[in-house]
Amino acid sequence: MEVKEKIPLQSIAEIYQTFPGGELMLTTTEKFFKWAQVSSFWPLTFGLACCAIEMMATFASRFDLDRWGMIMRGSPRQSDLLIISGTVTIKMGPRIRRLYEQMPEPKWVLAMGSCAISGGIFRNSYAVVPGVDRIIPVDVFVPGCPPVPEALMDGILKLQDKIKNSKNDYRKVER
Amino acid sequence: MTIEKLKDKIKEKFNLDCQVEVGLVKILVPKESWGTLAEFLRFEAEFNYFSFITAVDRKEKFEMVARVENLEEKTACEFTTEILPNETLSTLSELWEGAVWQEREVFDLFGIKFENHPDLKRILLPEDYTGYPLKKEFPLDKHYEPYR
Repeated sequence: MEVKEKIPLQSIAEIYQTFPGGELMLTTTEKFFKWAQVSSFWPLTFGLACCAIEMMATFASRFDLDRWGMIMRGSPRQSDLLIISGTVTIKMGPRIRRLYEQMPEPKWVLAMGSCAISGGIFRNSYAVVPGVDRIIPVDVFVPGCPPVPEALMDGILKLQDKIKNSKNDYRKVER
Repeated sequence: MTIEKLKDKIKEKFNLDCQVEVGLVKILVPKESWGTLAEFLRFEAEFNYFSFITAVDRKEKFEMVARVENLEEKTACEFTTEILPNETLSTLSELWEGAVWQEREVFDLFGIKFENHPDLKRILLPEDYTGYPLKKEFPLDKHYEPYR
């Protein structure tokens, strides 16, 4: 629709306030989308090793990430957060890359535990990827072996801060 | 066949001395009689269950260890041979089906080739992997090329 003459914001507000129970909130779309994104991460149900046990505990009733709108999704096509919870072997590498590529934009990756960050104690093993950031871009690294649920929750809050304070609408990913 | 009887039979047939433990016979065989001894264990001594085959890297030679079991009589036999690094060994997969994947794993990690194996290719590592990582000569800090 083409707006011919500019209507001052004040008059729009007055129009809305004439509606019964009418309220008006003004914001930028960028800020609004960011609010929606950080308020409901949908992580992929994806556990790799012992860190997955801690991740499951974090999602269960004692710590309950549902209060941040986070529920596990069974398909990468419905997810926007990939938690790499455990050792990434070289045979798992291409599979992780494929899962990441199946996720719709915008998407984020959280590397959980020392194995996912750098290979950990298995770094020099012939079968382990020394850090998942060699396969996919990582937003937040959560150290620990394994990280306690509080640490994972802190990492998720850090990711929320990162999205809220980011300058771009969408992350630029080098492919 | 009891352990004592098996020991005597192997002495008589192959002229090999066995080390006997409770329910277990250990034999060190020369490489040439690896196949015939296995055949004897499979059909005459009736060891019907293949437990494992693996290799030990002694740098100048490889020690090949295989273990078979008789589940009815609860006896086991561990037979060992020594081969040079570039030598091949006859397969056990014709006698025990369970040896097919076990020998593929030994090939994958040690690079030892088995004669007449039906499908000798890598089983655990990616197909484009170079080198055999459980060999002593394999460098410890060598990472897989695509994720270096």
